[in-house]
Amino acid sequence: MFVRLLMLVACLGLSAPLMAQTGHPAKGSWSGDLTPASGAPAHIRLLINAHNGDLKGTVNPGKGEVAMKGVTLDPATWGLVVKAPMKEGELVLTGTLSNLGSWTNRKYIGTYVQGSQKGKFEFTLN
Amino acid sequence: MNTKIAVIAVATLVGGLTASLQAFAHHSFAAEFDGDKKLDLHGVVTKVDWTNPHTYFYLEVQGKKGLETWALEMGSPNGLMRRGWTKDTLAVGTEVIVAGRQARDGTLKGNAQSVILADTCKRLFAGSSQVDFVEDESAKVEGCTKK
Repeated sequence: MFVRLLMLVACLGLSAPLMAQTGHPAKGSWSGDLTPASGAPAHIRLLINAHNGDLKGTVNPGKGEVAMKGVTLDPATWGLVVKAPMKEGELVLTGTLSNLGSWTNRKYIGTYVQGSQKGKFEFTLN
Repeated sequence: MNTKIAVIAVATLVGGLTASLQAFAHHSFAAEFDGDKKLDLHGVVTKVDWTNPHTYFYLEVQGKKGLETWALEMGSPNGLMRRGWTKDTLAVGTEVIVAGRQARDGTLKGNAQSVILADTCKRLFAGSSQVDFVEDESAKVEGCTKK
């Protein structure tokens, strides 16, 4: 009985670091740049939350934040689409999540459209 | 009997090693930070990790060469709660002014001593472990004007 108890304690201890690997792959705070075909890049932040499989979020969380109108993830391709009604025109980010095994270098890379502007973006999970 | 002892020994070893992982993160102020390297940062919070033995938050700051991301260490979650912090005090996107000390190795890492919420100019002490740092509640809040 005592041995079994010790084994249980050891297993619980081992499982603690594993808990860090849970969570939705899109969830979290992302920082990155929108780089238009011509012109200077614009730095923005995304905050995405997951609840029961539903994704919601804000662009530039904090003062003046804009609630996302839609966040959809295709788990087959890890394609993530984010839409937000920014004052410069609706922002649509179409990209792919990569490096999902990393907490420090997870990427969301793709292309964007905002009003008449088009370009590329790259975000890193904070 | 020998098997039983071996199992107990292995279980104890594994449990001990696992428990020691958190202890690695605990260190004295002087081992990592330089008391003479003053730090004054104004930026936006991008992440908060309420972990023991130290809470960390990350700040995007406009530096001379571009955007910098600083990692700032505070006291334990329990210590911060006793100083008036809640889990919502530092939401992602909050603009703050931080006073503290920089890491000895010159990286973008610091020990936060006080955090001022830029919107309200409310100052919160961050549970710094610097021995000669005094949390003086009566001291004037500097570097902030209410918006």
